[in-house]
Amino acid sequence: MSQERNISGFVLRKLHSLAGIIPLGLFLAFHLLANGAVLLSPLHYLVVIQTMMNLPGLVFLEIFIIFLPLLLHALMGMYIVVTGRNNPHKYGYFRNWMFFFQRLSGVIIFIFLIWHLFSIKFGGLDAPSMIYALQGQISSPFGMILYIATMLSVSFHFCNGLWGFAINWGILSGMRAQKYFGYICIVLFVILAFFWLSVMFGFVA
Amino acid sequence: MENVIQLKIKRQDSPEAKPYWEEFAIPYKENLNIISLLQYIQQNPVNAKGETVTPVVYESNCLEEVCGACSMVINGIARQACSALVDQLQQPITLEPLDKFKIVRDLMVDRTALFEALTRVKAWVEIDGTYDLGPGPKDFSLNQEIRYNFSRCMSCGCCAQSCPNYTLLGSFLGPHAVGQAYLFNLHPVGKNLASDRYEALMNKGGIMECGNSQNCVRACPKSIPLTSSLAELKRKVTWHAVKSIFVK
Repeated sequence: MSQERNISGFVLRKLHSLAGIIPLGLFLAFHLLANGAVLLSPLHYLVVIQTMMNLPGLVFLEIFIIFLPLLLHALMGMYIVVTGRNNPHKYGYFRNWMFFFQRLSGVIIFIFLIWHLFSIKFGGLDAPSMIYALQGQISSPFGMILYIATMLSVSFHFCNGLWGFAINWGILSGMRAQKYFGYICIVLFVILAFFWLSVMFGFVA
Repeated sequence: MENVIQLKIKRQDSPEAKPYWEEFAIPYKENLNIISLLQYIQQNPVNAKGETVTPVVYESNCLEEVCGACSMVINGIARQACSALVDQLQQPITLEPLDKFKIVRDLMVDRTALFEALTRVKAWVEIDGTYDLGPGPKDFSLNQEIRYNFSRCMSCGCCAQSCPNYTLLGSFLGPHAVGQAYLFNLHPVGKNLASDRYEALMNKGGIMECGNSQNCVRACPKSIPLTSSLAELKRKVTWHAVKSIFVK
């Protein structure tokens, strides 16, 4: 029973797992840090955004560090969501719920990003009008709900993804190691969610 | 209530027919298992309404949880009917076939896919040759102990049934096949086929289709550390993939 060699699925899933941490996890940290300037003052935020907009080779960085990995991760992720058959209502184990929430948070982020990219990133806005645009979005009831859901989803998806990454690359194979790293990831999630929500509310304050 | 066991069975008359639920009421006795209820229905094929029906079709063999033939979904969870004790189950007890496999009739399914997955990962020790190879190499007891855990797999299908990434139409080999690839890669002679097994786990339906829900290790009636073998092999297969770029 020999099979024809077809490793495209393997390579795509491996890249999907890698892209989630490098570079997307790094970008997420950078994005949080840059937006965190708004907590100091709107002026700080403006300076950071202006500086980034004038970075040399910005388009190159954006395409290769953000858009292409994001596109791969998002499309492959959606494929994984559609082909899976979630069953936490029957097998209500902790890890199975995490598995389900990983997919749910991915879908929430996917929907949010389409809106976020077209209204803010490609909205043709300069730095000061970005603050007003974000304020407007976050202070509307619908926007507030979607933003809170996304801040929680992003924090969860990254932290739980870190756990998945450690297994997908065989870094953690023991059950005890996987269990304790799971706890560490929960603590990370709480910290990350706290910072993302503070930054989000920093825009409307 | 005390002297009757209520049973709801999801039935299907043929592979193409529509499934339907049928209820049965069975006189209570102490210490019954699900197989004894199904045996009772075989002898008295009468449903709860008093109608005579066709006996419920099911598979069973060893009746001591080592063959895996009587796997079915009992109160929502995949397990063996022989080791599912009526006194420990909430009533009405529901019985469904494993729906990740082709249904033959009622509770009987075609588990061929499980065995095909084992052939794809070459879950055996190759000793065929043109002359007597003599005694095999000795193995350390530490290694034997690890192997023993995995050798208890009976291909019952509970891991596959509980796995969100194992589907009827999907290509994933299933957690059991990964565990068996791990087992035979630990064997002193079996490991000669290690790179063939890595190739199979890289191929379509391979190890990366696992999404780490870790249901398999919870569903496994033999408590085989499937999730450890998955993570170990994910690393080894990745190394194999990287290596094959340079040496092929």
